[in-house]
Amino acid sequence: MRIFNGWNDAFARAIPLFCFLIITVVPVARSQNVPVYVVDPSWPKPLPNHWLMQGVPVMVTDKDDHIWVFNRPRDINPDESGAGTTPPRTDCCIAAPAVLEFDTAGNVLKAWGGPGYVPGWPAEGNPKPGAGAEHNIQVDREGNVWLGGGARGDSIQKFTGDGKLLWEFGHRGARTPPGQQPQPLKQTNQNTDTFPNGIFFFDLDEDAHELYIVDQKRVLVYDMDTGVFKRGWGGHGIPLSEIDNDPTPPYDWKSGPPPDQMQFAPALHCVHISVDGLVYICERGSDRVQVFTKQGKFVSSFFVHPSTPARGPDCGGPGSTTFGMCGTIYNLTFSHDAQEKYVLIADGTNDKIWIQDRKEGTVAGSIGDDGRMAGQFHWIDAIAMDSKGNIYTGEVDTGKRAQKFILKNGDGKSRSRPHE
Amino acid sequence: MRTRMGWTVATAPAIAAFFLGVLAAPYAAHAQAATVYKVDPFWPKPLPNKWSTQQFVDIYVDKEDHIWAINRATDARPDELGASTTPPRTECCVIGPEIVEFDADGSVLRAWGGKDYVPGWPGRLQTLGVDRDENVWISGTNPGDSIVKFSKDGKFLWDFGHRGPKVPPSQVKQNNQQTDTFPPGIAAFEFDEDAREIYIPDGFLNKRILVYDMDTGAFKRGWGGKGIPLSEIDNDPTPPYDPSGPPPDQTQFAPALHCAHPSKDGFVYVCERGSDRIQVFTKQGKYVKEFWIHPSTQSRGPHCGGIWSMTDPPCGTIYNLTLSTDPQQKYILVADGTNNMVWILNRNDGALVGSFGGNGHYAGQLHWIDSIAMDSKGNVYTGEVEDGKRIQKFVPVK
Repeated sequence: MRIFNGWNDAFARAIPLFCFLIITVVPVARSQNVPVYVVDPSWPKPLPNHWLMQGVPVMVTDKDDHIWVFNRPRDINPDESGAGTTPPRTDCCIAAPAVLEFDTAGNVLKAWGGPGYVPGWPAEGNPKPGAGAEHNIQVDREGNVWLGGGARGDSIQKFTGDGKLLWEFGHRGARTPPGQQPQPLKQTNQNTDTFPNGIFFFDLDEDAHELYIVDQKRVLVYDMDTGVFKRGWGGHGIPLSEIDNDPTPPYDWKSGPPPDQMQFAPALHCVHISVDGLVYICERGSDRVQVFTKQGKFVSSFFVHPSTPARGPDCGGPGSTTFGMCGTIYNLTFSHDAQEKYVLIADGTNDKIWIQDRKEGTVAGSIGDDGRMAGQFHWIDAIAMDSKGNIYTGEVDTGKRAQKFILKNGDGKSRSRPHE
Repeated sequence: MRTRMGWTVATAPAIAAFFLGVLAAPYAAHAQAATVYKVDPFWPKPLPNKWSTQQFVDIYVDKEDHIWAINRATDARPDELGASTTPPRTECCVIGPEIVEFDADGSVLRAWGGKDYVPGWPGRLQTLGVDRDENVWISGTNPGDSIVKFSKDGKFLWDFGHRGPKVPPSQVKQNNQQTDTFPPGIAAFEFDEDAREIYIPDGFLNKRILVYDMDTGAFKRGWGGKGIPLSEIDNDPTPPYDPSGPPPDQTQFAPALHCAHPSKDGFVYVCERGSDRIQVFTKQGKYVKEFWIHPSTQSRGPHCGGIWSMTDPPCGTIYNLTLSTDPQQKYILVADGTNNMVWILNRNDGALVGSFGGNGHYAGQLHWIDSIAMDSKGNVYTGEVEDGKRIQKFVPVK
């Protein structure tokens, strides 16, 4: 049976009518008090030391409303790194450190990390790893920073806020020897000992001391202190033993939305836990969000803009000159009102943030559009929200920005109480 | 120091110290401070009809202070054109018209043109100009491209001709003596409407400035670097130099020549990107003086990358320039797509009096700035190529 909480045909028809042409937002209000966001084009402040921010796959906010950006220094191109030669070819720039902490005013508070920073850093020894490099960041209540990487042999490492290595999750697969092309890996959705593909996305459930990881076609849960495996499940909550290890079949995107299949369709692009204890999985390969209990029982799902192809042969990656990208769910965050009324979805294919009512499953609005101006996006991949309801976004490919959007009332005034 | 914060390096050494080398002032001391500019991050308004913003390779402000720009479509990527498939893959975007007219508020007034719009449409647009009669002239850099003249509504009026054969660029050879055809295409041009002349810096391959009648297309005169006659221009590759020092002061122009702009008082300013240099001539081609722009930046030679290069950065600091629109045209504003700065010079003595920009994708920063123009109010418009793909407006704040 098709679970289709978030969309119906009426919405699918109506969305295109109001979602383009607007830099900062302000779609037609579907209900009272739909949040409205306006880009802050002066955030962040210019980086010091000739640093240039690179691709930002994930960013998070911490308990102090500081914004932590994980950016990929090895994305830098020669036309951006002219200050790194001897003598300098140009006045600017060099790659910024991989971990950047900002305050809400856009000042850099801390900056550390990068290739070779510690043994086991993501994509060790690879000068140009692309998307398979620095990838996921989380900051726990104690202010420790957890980093994950997306290359063969990568894992999760835990640091102090100042960048001192504290702990290593392990469960590493084999690294690709330097100079060799990585060979295709067979899926192994039953093995919970190692992560041969690296760890692209994870999140913490600190009350339960658990670490959630999405990998291949499954969600896995580990003890966040000991690294011991606890449980896992596949699409619609099937047990690990029932997950197939086959390629996901393509579908005809021109004829309709992705099929409602039982197995997860990679790439799984996030795992986040809501205030009411539900686990949200970004199933980019199906243009879909699936919702589970923490024990892995399927609760609901909703498609997001499923007219966009989610997977298949006509999908291009960064720099592709033949195809656009696929999938609409690059990441998501929850609104910071007490009930987390909205889910905000970063769609790097449409270059929009979709604002979705979390309980009703209806589309409430959108932010942004494809482009290079302030408030537009080129490959939005990261999204985070602070306690005031401000949104922070990160862009990859050649977007290479972090942006801030300020929550406003419909009349443009700042809101004192977010989302209410 | 990023100019979206509203400062230029010209204001005071104290400012540079305050910003702690974010974009260090390249010269230790400056002459009298020039205008300070602040970006308007909400200019222009989003393009209508899901038109994609692409490479804004040239900008021209007309007598009504309308901003005409080339939104060059040739480097659009599939990830930007998802609305052009059937059915649409994504909400946005489609290739829009390549010629766009904005008003000062950033609204689109007119838009037309594109591949196959008329026979002879440039294969790769590079330059546009708008004359006093509000006709729009465009040119391109593919072999076989020329200059084509349209009404402001996009009606074809005239073809400059002088086209070379449509051959692969590798088959085009230097020939600085013949003035009948432009085998590399025509990268840049500018009018002198009082004299009814059109100036063409023929310098993406060749090394010369040529002047034609802008009504008949008849050749009138030309010269090479330092004003040498066409007969004395060599047809050899420009030798490289040791980039640990500034480019040598050579007689022959060093391609690429990126612009030729006449001033109101009768001088012609030539962008010699291959030497990090502006050469100034009389309209008759007599050499007057030269200004070096940030010559510590490599201007040519091996290890110079074009757009999209993954191995080498670009070279040269003079991508284009505009003269300020005050009656005396007191300043030269230079678009430097290698340092991604706008350098502001005194036109009289070439002293650096300000700058803005900085490498990056934020509002007020620049990624491959390639075009610059100023309106009568002193607002500056910039265009970016490669994956910059923006047009921006900078407003004077003092």
